[in-house]
Amino acid sequence: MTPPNLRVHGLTKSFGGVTALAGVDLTVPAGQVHALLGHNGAGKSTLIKCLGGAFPPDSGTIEIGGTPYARLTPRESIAAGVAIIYQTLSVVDALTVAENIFLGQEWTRYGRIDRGAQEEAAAGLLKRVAATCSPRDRVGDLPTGQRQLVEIAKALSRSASVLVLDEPTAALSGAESDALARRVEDLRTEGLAIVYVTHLLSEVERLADAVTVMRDGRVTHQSSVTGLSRGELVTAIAGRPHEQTVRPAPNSARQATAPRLVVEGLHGPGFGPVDLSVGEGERVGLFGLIGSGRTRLLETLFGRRRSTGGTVRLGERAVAPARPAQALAAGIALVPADRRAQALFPPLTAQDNVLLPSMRPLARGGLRALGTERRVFGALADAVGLRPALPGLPAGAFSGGNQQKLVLGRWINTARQVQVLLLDEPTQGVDVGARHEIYRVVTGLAEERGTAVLFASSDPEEIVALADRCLIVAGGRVVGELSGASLTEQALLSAVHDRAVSGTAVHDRAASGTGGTADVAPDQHADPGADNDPGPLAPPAEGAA
Amino acid sequence: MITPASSSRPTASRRRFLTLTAGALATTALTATACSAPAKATASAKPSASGGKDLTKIGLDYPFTQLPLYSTLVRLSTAAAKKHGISLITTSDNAGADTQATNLRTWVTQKVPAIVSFPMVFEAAEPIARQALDAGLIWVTYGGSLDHQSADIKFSFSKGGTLLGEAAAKWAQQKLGGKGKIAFLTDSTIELGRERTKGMIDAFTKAAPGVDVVAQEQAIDPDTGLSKTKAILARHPDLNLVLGVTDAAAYGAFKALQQAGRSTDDAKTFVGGQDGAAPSLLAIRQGTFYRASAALAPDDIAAAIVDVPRAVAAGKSHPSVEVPIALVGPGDTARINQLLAQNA
Amino acid sequence: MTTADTALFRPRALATGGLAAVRRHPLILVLAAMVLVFQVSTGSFLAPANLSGIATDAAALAVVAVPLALLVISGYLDLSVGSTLALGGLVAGRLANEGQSPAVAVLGALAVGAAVGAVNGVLCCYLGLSPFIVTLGMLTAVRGLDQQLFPLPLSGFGSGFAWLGGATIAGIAAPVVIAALVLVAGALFLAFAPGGRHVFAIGVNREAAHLSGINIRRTPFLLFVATGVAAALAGAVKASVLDSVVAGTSGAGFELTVLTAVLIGGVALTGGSGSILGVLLGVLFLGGLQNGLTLLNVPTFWQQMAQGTALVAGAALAYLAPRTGR
Repeated sequence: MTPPNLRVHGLTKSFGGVTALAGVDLTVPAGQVHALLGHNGAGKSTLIKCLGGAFPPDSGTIEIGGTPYARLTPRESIAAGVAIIYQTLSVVDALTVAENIFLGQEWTRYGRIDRGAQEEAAAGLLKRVAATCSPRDRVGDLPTGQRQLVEIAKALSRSASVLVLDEPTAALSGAESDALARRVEDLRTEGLAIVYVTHLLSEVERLADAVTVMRDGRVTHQSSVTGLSRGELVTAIAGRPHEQTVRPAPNSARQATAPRLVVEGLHGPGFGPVDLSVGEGERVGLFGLIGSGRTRLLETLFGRRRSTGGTVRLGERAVAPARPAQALAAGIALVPADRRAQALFPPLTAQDNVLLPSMRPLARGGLRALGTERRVFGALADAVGLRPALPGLPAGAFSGGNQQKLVLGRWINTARQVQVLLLDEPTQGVDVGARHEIYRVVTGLAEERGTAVLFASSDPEEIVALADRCLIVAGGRVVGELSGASLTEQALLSAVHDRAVSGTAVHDRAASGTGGTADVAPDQHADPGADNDPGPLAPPAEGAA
Repeated sequence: MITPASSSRPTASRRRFLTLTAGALATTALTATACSAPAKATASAKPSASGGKDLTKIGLDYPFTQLPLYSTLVRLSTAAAKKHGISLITTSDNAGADTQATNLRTWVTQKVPAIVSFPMVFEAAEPIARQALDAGLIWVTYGGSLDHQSADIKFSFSKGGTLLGEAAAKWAQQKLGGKGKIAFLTDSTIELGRERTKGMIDAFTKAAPGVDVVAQEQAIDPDTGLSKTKAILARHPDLNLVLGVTDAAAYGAFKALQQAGRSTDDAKTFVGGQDGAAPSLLAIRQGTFYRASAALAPDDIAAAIVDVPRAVAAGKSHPSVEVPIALVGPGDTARINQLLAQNA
Repeated sequence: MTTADTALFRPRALATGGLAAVRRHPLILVLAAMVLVFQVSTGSFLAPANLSGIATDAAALAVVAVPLALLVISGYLDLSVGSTLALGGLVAGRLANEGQSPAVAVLGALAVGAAVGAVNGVLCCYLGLSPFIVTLGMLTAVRGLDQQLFPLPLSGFGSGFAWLGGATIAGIAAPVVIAALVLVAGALFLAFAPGGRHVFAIGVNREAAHLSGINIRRTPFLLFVATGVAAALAGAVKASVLDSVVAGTSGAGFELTVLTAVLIGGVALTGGSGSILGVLLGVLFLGGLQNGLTLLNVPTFWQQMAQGTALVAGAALAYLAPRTGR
């Protein structure tokens, strides 16, 4: 076998209190495609960014072409031969294809850019990646697939020996995806070491020679693809055989409770129409890939986005929140996915973070009720198991899990009465211990206060652990439903992955994949093309992993 | 107060403020009559092609639009021009040297027949003045002279200071027996201010050598005058005289002394300034210890703004005017009323 | 940062507050060193008359610095206060000249100040325009308005109006009392009003504040109005102290002085952190520095150099010290 071109050994990286990578080993020989799988927040992005020099690892080595590095700067990474094609392409729209390819390494002649030579060389590179665009085209005018090829051509122009593709087909059409797959095969033949990050099992099966599955910053499975069955792969991603999954007794009685949140025909930019209902004390999960429209749906229910039609009822009362404040007044609260950008106030104290929205209601005569605030915080800290339970500590000093408890605590403390709790990726960037405490708190909230919980997650284990019932979301619509005994990680993974590959309606696969039939109830026929173009649907929050 | 001109803070605004004062200083000069002292009539002071006897338009470029004097001058010179059937146009330079240069170039391009300009930077105005003369326009320099000009309207900057210093020294000899303490509120940032400061200090120390000079502090606006005088009073509570390079600064000192407990007509206190600013003139008229100002007659300057270009147009041999300066004191009620009326 | 600021005003934390304050506001040490140097070298810096002079001079600065600090903490900025200050002084002076009572004169000034602040607030908070551009534009526009409405200097406002700047209340000058009230009100607002925490929240993370149901437009809008009102009040006080106002030059450059006081007092221009105690220290530092250099009779250009250097040194100490400790 060819000597390894990329060898990562014992790579460790943590941010604040959160461990993102815990001793990751990865070896990719030249001429191999190595698939990298795992849920959002499993550490894939961090690994890629360490390779690209975006941030230095805490320990471990990265060996490229036999040269070990303890850390890389972006410049060193490029020089060493690493090329990373991120989901968000880094081409400059205003420049031509040739200018993009040679950006930062322009060919000059007598001190001037030698356009002729650049364009000639670019044409050769474009041919190598089978791109149909011309070197003189403005990149901004090209479709996504071509722009991606331009970026790959750019990598080739720098004699890259290690190519990292981060979910390259997420924004591509079916035909473009096929074309890209052929290019990847070509480049493998040319001897590049390719790291291929994906959610799609079909891509792994078609392209990959070896596969690494990550979970909570660790490598949980590493093997050759040959001889690996899909079932084994799914189990590897899920983290454990599904029989072992801790699942609270699904409350089948919930279905019978009065519906608290009823959504009918709701649609907005990037999603819909959506019909769903969540009963009193019921926990409903929304499962789907990035860009499936889950976040948009939740944000619309919360008044952060405007709907373009449909109705939302809270019990018998119709609500149409235009602002989050109105949603909150009606009793709908949201815990957004991107904690840093959308929820946390890192320099403010833990107590302030929890009680900001409640200070005014608690205030007496325009003055804050400091004693009451402290009591409410104390009770909450006990209830969610906040560690450390210090009201005056800045929120930024807490671990990711405890930060999430603070954000969650904003809506579930004793000063608040929330009818409907919306959660978007409730445990993203949260360590395992805190994850289960959060599940316990949310479950308790539903059972004791009858709060209706609607949460979105791309982690099947989370869905299984937290949901009474799960709706499968793709292309901005609800395309299937799983509950009771048929709600398993395998069923969920099969549902989205098979669907994304074959375009077959989810219920068929779900049925055949898991053997469960009873509870699969597609509410409408799936639109196979809908999630082939998730680009414009992808809300910013969902891109952060 | 932490005044704009004195607190530490980006120099840009400080410089801007000082330039404002430059305007105040330059225009401070006062004359009783617009007597045309024969000044140099430069070679280029010839009847202009576009002007001739029927001058119909004068452009007045007075950059310091922030100053109260700006409004007064525009009003008075517009009226003076109207008497001769001349229309007066103005720039809005907003105390910006770059803006001024742009505006002047526009006027030269538009062939405004006569331009009266107070250059913020004399060196910068020189090429524009030459262009104006080359284009056959009349160029009158205000507040100084250029190599290329048709004529000028000049002021003696040190004269006002000298008059003030002498008057204060005389008062000190009579009322204090030649002993006591004096503080000067000065300006050392621009030529006009330095000349005035020197005239004031030289004249005083020469005529009243027995009076201790306890402070010389940069101050050109009332806020700074007030806070600097307060600080000086903290060390020298028995301060007798404060002379200001501007009336504005001296007025601040006037208020500081009052707030330190001086009665407004204290016999042993003397404050004087230069500008003829309305608040100071009122204080003098009321018989307070604000006892002198090198007061300005806007009427006379307005007359010169119209008469000098007309004289050039008519081909007179000595069109330039030097405006001498005079001091206003408690006895000059009629003169004060006249000046206040011109300001109003 | 922000934690300690409120802690200072919580009774329980008062005992340890002193030490914590020094740690979080190293400017206290800078200020103390400055006082020591000036007192030793002049012998009269700490004289009651001089201290009262410094306080009176710094009062107008403090009055504007408090609401401006809150505005900056919430992530906004107001550069128009210099012109608004002049407008407030002119309106108050004109009303006093016309024989109105001092109360009416001051209320008139506050009303025009609120109007300027409201214009700033609507443009920046509701229309989302850049506060830098908007308030810089307003700085020029309001200055033009000042000069158009009041081309001539105003003076001789009468003894009633002189009370505002000249009276003493329990031995303390009226402007100092006013400034103290504003400072205390600002500190109490930050610590005890729900809106005070909202100011920080909006400055730290607007999106998160919005998603927490906080009104991210109204709070900064009201702060713009408060800043306008405060600038006009400061203008009225200055007009009373000086018994005169000049439209073109009153308050020129004041916007930068007050911003300097706010920033050197530890308020971050990026929003989200700052305290009223810090603002007070910044104001006292600027006021004391100028007074001390005058007492020493330092020549003009040396004064400029010393002021600039002291300012940078003070800022460096104030900013570096807590960072290295963190």
